[in-house]
Amino acid sequence: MAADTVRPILSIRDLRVTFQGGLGLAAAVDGVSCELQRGETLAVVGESGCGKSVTALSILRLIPSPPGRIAGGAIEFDGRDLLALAPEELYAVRGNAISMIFQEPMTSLNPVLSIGTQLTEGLIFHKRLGIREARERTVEMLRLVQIPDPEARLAQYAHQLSGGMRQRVMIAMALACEPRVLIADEPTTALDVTIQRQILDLMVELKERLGTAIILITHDLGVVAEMADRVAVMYAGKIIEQAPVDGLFDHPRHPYTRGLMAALPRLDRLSASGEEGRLNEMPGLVPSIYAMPPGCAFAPRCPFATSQCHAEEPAFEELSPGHYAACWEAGRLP
Amino acid sequence: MTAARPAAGAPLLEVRDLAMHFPVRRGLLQRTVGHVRAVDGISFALAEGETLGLVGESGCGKSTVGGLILRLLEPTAGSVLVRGRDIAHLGRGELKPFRREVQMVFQDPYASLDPRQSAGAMVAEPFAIHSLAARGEIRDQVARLFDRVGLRREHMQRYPHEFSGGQRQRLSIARALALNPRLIVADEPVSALDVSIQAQVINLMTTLQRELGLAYLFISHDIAVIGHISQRIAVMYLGKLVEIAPRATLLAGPLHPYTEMLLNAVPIPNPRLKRKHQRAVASEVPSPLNPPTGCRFHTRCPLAEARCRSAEPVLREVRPRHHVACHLR
Amino acid sequence: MAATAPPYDPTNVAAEELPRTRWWRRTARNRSIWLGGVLIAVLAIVALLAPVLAPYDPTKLAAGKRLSPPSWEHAFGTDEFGRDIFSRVIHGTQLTLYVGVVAVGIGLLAGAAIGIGAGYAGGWVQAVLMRGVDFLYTFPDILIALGLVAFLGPSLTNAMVAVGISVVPYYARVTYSVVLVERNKPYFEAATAIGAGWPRLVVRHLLPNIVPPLIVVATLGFSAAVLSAAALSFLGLGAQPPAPEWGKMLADGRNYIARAPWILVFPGLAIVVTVLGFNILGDGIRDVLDPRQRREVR
Repeated sequence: MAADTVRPILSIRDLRVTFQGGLGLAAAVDGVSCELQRGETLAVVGESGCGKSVTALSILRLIPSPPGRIAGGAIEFDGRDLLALAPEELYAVRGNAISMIFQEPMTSLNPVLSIGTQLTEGLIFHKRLGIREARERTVEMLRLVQIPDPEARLAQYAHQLSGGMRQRVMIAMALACEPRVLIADEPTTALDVTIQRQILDLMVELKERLGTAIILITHDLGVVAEMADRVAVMYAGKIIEQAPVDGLFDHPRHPYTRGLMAALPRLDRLSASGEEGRLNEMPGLVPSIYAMPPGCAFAPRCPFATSQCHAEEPAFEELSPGHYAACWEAGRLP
Repeated sequence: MTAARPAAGAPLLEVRDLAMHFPVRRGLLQRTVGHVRAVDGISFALAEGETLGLVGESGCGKSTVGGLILRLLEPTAGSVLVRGRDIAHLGRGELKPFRREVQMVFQDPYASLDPRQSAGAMVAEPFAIHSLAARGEIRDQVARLFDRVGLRREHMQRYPHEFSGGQRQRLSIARALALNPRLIVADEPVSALDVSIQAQVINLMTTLQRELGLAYLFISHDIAVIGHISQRIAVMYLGKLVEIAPRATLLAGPLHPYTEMLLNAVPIPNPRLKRKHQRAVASEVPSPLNPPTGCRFHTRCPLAEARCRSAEPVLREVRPRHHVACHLR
Repeated sequence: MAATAPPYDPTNVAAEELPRTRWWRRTARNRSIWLGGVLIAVLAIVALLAPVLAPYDPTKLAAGKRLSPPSWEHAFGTDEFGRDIFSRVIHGTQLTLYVGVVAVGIGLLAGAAIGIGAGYAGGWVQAVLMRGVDFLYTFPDILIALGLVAFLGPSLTNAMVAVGISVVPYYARVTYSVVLVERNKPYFEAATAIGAGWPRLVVRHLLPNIVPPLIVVATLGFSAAVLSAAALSFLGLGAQPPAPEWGKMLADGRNYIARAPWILVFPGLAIVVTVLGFNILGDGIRDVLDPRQRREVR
């Protein structure tokens, strides 16, 4: 794993994104580096405000600016730095080589354009297809995402579809141009659990068939366990642990990751009878990005923190092959 | 039809054949063109100190059940009995004593607190409404409630927007506790919270239950949370109860195909457990405006037979304390 | 700093310490309140001390030469009757503030009552009240005001009342829409669940949440009310000559716009300053009253 000679399809180096807010300038993403291999699913997991969505939006430079600004770093895709592209070059990448699906499928679809119009648009723009070809390809895509009666759907509008169907349409749209990277930002969070199951199954199946590399942004460790090959855990604008999925769940090295896992109510570990024990609580709150503590950002909530943790920021180190964590105490944890 | 009466004692809460049909009006004259059958004849009971989890997907009517039990809505049919007294059709004034018995914690900690009321005033309000404490004592009572839910007394002067989501939910719980209720209806109380904060609130709720002997009707779409906190679980689908059983029984051996589908759908945070579930076919939840005939689940049910399309199954006790509404069980 | 205490107390549930200020601190820091407040305060003082501040009797004819431009004797010049415009503007402050406050007061109180009644009660009460309001709304305000004055008889008092009544539908609609938004929020349901009756719901929960937007609307309405009253005065239905009402002065002076622009400029400026002052103040008040306006730390 460590001697991966294959060049990653996407690599983010030292990304820093700042926001100008009422209380001053703050870094929502502060020095994030990670790589995405071909055909791999990398899950980026964390609680709200940890910077996972900002990282995802930065890849296609979709950060609202102002107040946001990509203040530093590089995002290399296919040997080019996406952050240095001219706007026209960027449009050619968006929705084509890299595409994105969002959490809320209702607001991500234009309510006054038919599904067909929105789906064919990208194909006509990026792939220079004629209208007829684009429609044929669209029907094929809708069939691929298992939408019943695809021809009839082309004339429908977003409000005529259920939440699950809309997310299928979004996926069809994202995959229409055969992107090499798909960024999925909480793709199933707004859906009911049985519909989420269908969409997750669909994504696994499509990934196997099309070989698309996926960056999956989510807060749900269950979704991570089912979907990811590798996982990056974010806290307060930084990646604090990164590992292959089995390694992360078998032996989480960062106290935050451990805390997160222990805080989950779990159906697979319920006691057979009687009362459940208490869930693990992490005391306190995620620090405000306007008032970051010195040292390790998790130290104020960490049961293992030492004076070093409060003073010095830990390095992001490889603890076992492919398993990285940023924690002074990682080696000494029970 | 009193399904699922707890083993001993008169129930704290009993719901009988409860129904809520919302009229759908269209056109210039606002004529009623149909009814959304949000809740369509459900019955269950809840004992003192018990937690009943009510789980279901969006639009199944679970939140409407909460609203009906609190009498924020007047039911179309059926009754809600609190300690044997039907509160379903009481007037506003007659409801007041009942409000002291049953309280609510809402889903959205951002919208369910009055933005212009300070935290202290909010928790003090129930005392004033129900004349529960002398003016001079109210502050002490409020301070005690703040301690109890883990808020700092100094924060009484703060406004809701100055608190985090988890703190707001604590505030909402403090207010619900002010009247010293026996039952708290909690409608998705942790759904808007992050995992680590969710754990804090769930733990607080279980601690309070132990200390005060509260009963909870815990409404959620998250079956893992429900599984953690409940003693019994009721599953709703399109306005109907499809299954109700003690927690361990239901989770280990669900009898209704919908419950099974729901349990199988939950992603388990263990990558080594990637279960080989049968791939779910694309299916959609039918509209409660026009629910399917017979068993409402038959359109998505892998086991559906001819009778499921025509005859509606009745919730019946197939094993001790395990009730299910399915022809095949 | 190896041995220093951690910067945050992890046992504290409220680790997120927000910069917190009380309303008077926020008021003191709010620039709009200062600017608008000072403007309005100056106007109020001018209105109160008008007899002392004005160098001439505002109604005295031929205090100077007719239509003379601004000079040392007449800071704002004189009008077509030789009256001192500076004195007239100063005395007009009284009338204008009075007209604005009374007209907006009538409109706001009656309109808010209707809006709250309709929005809170719903059902047939809402239907009757709001259809009535809609009916009145189809007529231009000034037409309603004209009709009322014609009925009541021309005088400044009647003009104020007429203008006030003519804007009731506007305030009723604004209030109604704000009430609808607020009463459908979950906190309203939450208050019902703890047993709050309708008086408490309206006074403790509804009013505090609808007052800030209404204040803003009322300050904007102030200018419209002053202008409507002026229009009535111009038509001879409001302030009667020789009362130094700004709108009336504008209307009377319009024939001299080319020859003696100062006749219009100074009363016009006075109106602009007053309206601006109220608008700025209104914005400031909203910021201070509304805790939600303050930026949240995320």
